[in-house]
Amino acid sequence: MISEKFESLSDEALFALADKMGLDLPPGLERVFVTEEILGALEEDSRERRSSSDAPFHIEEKKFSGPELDDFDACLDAAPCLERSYNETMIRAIARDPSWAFAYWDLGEAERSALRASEGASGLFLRVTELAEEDGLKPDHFDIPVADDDNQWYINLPRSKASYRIELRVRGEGRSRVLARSTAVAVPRLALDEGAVRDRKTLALLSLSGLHALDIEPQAESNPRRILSGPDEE
Amino acid sequence: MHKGYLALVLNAHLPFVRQPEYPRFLEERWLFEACAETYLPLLRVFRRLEADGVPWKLTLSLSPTLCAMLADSLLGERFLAYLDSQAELAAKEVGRVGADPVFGPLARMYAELYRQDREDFEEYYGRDILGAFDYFYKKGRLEIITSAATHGFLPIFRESVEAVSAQIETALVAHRRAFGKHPAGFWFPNLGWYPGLDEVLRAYNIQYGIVTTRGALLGDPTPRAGSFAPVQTPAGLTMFIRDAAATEAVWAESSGYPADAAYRDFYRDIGFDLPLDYVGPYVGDGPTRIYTGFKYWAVTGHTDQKRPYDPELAAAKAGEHAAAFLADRLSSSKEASALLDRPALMVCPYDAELFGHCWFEGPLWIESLFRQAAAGSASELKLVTLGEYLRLFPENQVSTPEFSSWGSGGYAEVWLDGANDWIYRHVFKAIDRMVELAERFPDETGLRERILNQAAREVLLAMGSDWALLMRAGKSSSFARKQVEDAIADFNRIYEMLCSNTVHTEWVTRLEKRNNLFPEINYRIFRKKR
Repeated sequence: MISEKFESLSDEALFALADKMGLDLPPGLERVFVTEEILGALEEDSRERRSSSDAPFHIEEKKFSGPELDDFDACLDAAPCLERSYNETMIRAIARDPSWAFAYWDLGEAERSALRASEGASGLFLRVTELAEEDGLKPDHFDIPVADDDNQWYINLPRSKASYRIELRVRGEGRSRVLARSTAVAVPRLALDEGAVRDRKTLALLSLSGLHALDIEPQAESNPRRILSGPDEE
Repeated sequence: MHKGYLALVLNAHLPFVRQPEYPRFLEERWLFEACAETYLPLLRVFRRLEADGVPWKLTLSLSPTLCAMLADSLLGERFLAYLDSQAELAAKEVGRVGADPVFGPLARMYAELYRQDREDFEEYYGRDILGAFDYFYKKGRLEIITSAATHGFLPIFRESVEAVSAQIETALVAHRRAFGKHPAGFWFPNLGWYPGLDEVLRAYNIQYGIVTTRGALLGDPTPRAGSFAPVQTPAGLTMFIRDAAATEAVWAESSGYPADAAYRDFYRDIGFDLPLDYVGPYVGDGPTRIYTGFKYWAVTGHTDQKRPYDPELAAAKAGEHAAAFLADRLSSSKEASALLDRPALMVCPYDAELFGHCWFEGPLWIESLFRQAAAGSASELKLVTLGEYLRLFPENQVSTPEFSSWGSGGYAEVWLDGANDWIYRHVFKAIDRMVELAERFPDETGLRERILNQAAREVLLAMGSDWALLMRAGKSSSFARKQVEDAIADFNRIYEMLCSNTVHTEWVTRLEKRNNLFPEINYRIFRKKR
């Protein structure tokens, strides 16, 4: 099956696969030798995985005892065969951890055409705005320029335990226009607040619970970057 | 007087991997290996404990996809075929190494394992593993709880209350169908929790869940008892807190019990050591090497020279580790109880498949744990199920745990990563469209209702967290990607059929037969929550 898959690959794809695997092959090498090199490298990976097996205990993964060469299968057809766009203008944001949110967006064909036709347009950008607790907008925000063919971004957020809203905007003629706006995305707390616990009994119980190993004791914000107002003012 | 309470919790789960269109399918082995090496051996442990009158208590989450597969007759047939194939390989192995004083007994041990599995499954349980667990549920030894329908990582879907509710409601219906009861507890897949989930769960009369120590300690306000007592959210959901030290003892990659040099090595397997034409017929006839389950070597430690596996030495070590685990918990509970107004509780949740499949001696460790807890100084620790504890101590400090999970990093990094983030664009779109369909067609009957129900199944399948995990781990990632793509593509085809008012009955019927989980699903679970 593997050799059949190799046969179905073009020379270019075969070399691309070798390159992806970190193999340094001379240009123009015969297909049969490229194939041998790739199979040899895969076998080497398998051996390494087995010989280093004593220390790591990948329990979740062990449940799924898949084929050793599955990485290779994944290399062969990398792109999902689903639609890239659903022809709608939207943005969605998902909290990942205290410091990062993931946003993806899409533009409807009509919007894309309008952008292409608009001579003054100077590009898309994301505006990240921290929300006040009562859900009103704080004046601070920052902007992230994105390319027309981008459709997702991991956003590093300045403060944990806060809520943000992400807008997809387009800039033009000194002003910007909102194309889509996410719902509020709440990122979690990174650490205990300074002075949150003063009771000695509670401190002792937290310590017994493993507080020190969790790396959540009160600390200065790990990412102290302040939100700066973007250059674009409405 | 008890110095503390100990609650062992196992989460048994596998994604839906039924592939009826293929005579044999590699990923179905996940189920067969878990049945042969974890579920059936655990049931034998329970039977031995019962026979010896040992009091034991365990909370067990059986996920809805696992329940669907354990109840499936085709997979039951295939499991028997797997056991027969393993028995045949065992016989070959006995022929190959039977005369060897070291490896011969090990080959015979495997022959006995698969013989016993077959006898239990076919004759003792009548192919009904769920019924076997239900027996101990009804006896009050096991408390069986449920989890999200397809193990969706719920914090990622928090924006869609319809999707989260659909995961929960489908699970509850499946649980009642399997066990005839409403579960008291709910296992958050991967312990993935977010503030607000409690309101959804309380609306379905769920009483409790489990969170990580990190999530609980970062809660608002900070729990006064640390992890030694549950908290209760403002919505009234009791949140048990994972004991970090107990987790580390069993779960830690390099220092946990399963990494001890005496135990059987998981990775060194004849599937990789013997010629492919010898093992090939038992691993699916493919060109790739996979684990066969026949392993002859001990973990050994940091050396190239592996030591042969010694079952007696390993069993003795499992007993020692059970004693050490109980001694450590007793010591912690004494220290914590002195600071509390009630005996400390230690909640120890693990993946069930760790025991037996990954850690071969795991079931023996559990058996030894229960036996030792019932005798000697360890009897100062009382074993409880989570429901029992809640009946004893219904009042708990009000606190809302922070968004958290047991994945690497403690939040959502595992399920939202460069390797898998592409899925959410499609899955959220399918959710939005499913909500739209449920609103547009609230009163369908007959064929159109069947089609809508299948659409709901496909959306739930696409939400499964295992696919994202596998993509990130690079294991069976092409299979995982295909599961998401197929579910989304099938859903989109149904959506287009319904929007254009055309129906391909034959295709839908085929899809129903293929993805036949949740027979009682009602697509209206996706209606907007008002």
